[in-house]
Amino acid sequence: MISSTYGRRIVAGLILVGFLVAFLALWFVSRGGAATFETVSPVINKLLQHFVPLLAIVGGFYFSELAIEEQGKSTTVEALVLATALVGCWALAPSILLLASETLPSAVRLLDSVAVIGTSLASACLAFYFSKSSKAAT
Amino acid sequence: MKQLCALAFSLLLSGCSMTGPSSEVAPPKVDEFPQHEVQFRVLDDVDAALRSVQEYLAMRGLASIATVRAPKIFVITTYVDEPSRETDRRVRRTAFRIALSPLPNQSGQNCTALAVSTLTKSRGIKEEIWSVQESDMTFESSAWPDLRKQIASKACK
Repeated sequence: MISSTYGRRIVAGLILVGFLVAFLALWFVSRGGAATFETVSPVINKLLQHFVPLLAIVGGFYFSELAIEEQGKSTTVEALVLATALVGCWALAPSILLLASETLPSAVRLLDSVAVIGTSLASACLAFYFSKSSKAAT
Repeated sequence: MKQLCALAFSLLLSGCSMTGPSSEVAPPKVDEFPQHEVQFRVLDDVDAALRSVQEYLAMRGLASIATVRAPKIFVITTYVDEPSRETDRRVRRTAFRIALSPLPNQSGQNCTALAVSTLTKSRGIKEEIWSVQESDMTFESSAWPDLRKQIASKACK
């Protein structure tokens, strides 16, 4: 068993890190005229579309159930590992694609092609983990 | 099984189209070039001047097409890649438009008006589409000094 507060912070932290790293990666690859604003602008939009639903879910659970966290309950390690693995993959996918793909539009196309599956899986996983930790706390 | 194959094939195709920036091989259109032109007067009639221009371009290994829009004849080259350093994160290429038009016969000389316009486009290494940026408008092509010298050597007095 692992503290639900700790688990929630790990998962939420992963998304936040993914969000920040994605923008850093975007700046890194587009620096020095490698991409103009016209090219970067849709990528920023895509990154926001990618992360905002995840951040909204995490924020919703996290702030609405702060009181539960204070009770110091636990969840299973397996649940945390599953959530961390799936959410981590999805949160770090944009950064990896931006750094590894040949062009920014190709990274966006690739991200788009798996967006439905990835967002659904990650959102379901987040909802599952946060509701599980919420149940564990009650 | 058939559906799986079709899915795999479409994924393969979409994967192929995701890699590598698209490239334009065809020369630009006459009207794509900026209004700014460098004017010359060369000592030849239009046909001879056209031949000289085409020979020079062929010698430089530049493919070109001639378009007639009376009274002018436009010779448009394909894009020439501009030299870049390994550290450059933006690449450029330039196409030339050479407009030839007859001039009235002065003191027994057959002269032709020749106007050169350049179109420079650039693409970031992370971009797919070539575009004209502000810095491209003032960019001088590496092929330009030689072309100018060549034209100036045939100047009409």
